[in-house]
Amino acid sequence: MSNIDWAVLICTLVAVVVYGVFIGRGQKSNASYLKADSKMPWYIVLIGIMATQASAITFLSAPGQAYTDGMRFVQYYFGLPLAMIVICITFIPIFQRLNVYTAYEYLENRFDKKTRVLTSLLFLFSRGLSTGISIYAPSIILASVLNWNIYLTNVLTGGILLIYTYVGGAKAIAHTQKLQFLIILGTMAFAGYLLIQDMPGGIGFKDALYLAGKSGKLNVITTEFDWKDKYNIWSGLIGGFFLALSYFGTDQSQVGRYITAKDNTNAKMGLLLNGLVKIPMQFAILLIGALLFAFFSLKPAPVYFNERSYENLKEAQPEQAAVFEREHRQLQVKFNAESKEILQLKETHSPQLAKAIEDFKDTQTQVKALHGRVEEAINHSNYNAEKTDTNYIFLYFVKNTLPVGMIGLLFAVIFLASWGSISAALNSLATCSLKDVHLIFSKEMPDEQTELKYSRLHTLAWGIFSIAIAMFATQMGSLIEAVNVLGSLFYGPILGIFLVAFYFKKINGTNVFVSAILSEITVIAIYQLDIVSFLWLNVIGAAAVILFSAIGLLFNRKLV
Amino acid sequence: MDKQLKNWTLWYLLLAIALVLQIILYYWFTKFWA
Repeated sequence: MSNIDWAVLICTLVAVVVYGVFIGRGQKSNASYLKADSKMPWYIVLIGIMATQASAITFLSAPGQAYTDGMRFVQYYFGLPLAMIVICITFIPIFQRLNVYTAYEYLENRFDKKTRVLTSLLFLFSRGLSTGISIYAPSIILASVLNWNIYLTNVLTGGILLIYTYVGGAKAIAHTQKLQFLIILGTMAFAGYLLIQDMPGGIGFKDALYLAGKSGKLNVITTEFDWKDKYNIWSGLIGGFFLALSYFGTDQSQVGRYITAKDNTNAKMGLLLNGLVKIPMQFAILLIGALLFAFFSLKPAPVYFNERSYENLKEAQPEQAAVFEREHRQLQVKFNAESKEILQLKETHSPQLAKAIEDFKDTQTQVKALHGRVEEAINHSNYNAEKTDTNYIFLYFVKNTLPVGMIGLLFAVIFLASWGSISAALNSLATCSLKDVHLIFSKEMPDEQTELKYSRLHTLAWGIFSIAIAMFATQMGSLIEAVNVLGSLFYGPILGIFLVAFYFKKINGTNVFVSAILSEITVIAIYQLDIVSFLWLNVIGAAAVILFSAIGLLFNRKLV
Repeated sequence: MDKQLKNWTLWYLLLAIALVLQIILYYWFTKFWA
């Protein structure tokens, strides 16, 4: 990176931290520190919800996902708007009426203390680990691309945000998320514009879409049903609905955002608008990936986008790398020529177009096969904890194509996206560990000032814990994938507990408590058997709690 | 209260319709560029 890029990166990050500390200063009560005094307008709630969900990986991985697998990933969000409606009808009125700090507080009101603590512990366990991974995931990419030390990068990704999160709590988080999200969206939109402007051979937007479409990258809707297929319209609508319902309705990192709203109306507005804009936003990010494919159809792509991993392979196995490079060069020349030919034939409406497209697709298959062999060689040699180079595709374009200044800004975007979601996660973890565990088992209720001090200490402790997990993750290798699906292992049973609470008034605390434990065991067993894609685990977990609770109810009645 | 409930029902309905329209649009997009 040039000096200007460094300056842009550092100034952007410092500005956000200073702004966060400034706006969050002078916290005097726990209601202010943990819930921003419940005074936030709908647009802050909306941005908070979106910034919490969109981590750095969203902006790095999604374009790469579209580049390799096409845009069908967007279907993952199809159930989200429907979940927003259910949350507005059922969850928000109850949370607002009870004026809760955590979603799990309601469960004590509805069932008993043990159900509240169990559900909160399930959340703390899964969110605590996944926050550590959400520090590690962008850090490993930044460390690789910028040649930084991974441990130092973990501290930069997970540590600096602690300054404003510790000082200013929910208010600082909400306002910095607003600033972060505006910078992120503006920069991504400008990067997309530059990508279209810089298309090789001066081809336009329509031609780029044509190439991406013929390569199967614009496959937004796929209707074939398969239990093990992650992204099709059915898993997106049904599995995605349950996932979104669990995530937005029962995950404190999201509940903690909309309970900061000043009233029911502002909370509902924030959630409904999230349901409206989330899919188009994700579509736009994925479209960048599809356009990147068109870009590299006309201009040689590298043998492997994760350059550091490839350099390691090259050093260890120079002969093998030379074979890969020779094959890659030949294929790229052929692929680039065929792409140009297709565009020319399209212009003249030539009858040879269909044949040219077939050849283009054949070459694309060969390019993919060669990439698979390179990937296998790299993974076999275990040079890098990451198994694919999907997350590096967009950054390769950024680093090698974008003008000075924009590169620094794009790297700042990665940090800001991480900070937005991690700070909200830390706030939610601190709220739950304090309110649902610490104070529940505490013999004396602390005064306002002591409670505020505890909140800050819990925030700091969770920050240190998450960084420690990120440090440990460098040694974990393939375990990281297991941690990524961790959310879906716990979300189903947690959602099931809430659904029973809302809709099955005759079921009591002990019944749902036992059912939740049985359901958790069932979900873990099904995950181990590997018979369904992880999205379906949310549906199964929720359904299992309802089913076990219903059986428990029948059993109790018979005993009576 | 009833008026407020009816208003929200309208917003929920509009969001559901927006989802259906988007799916139709994306389906057309997929077919058009395939």
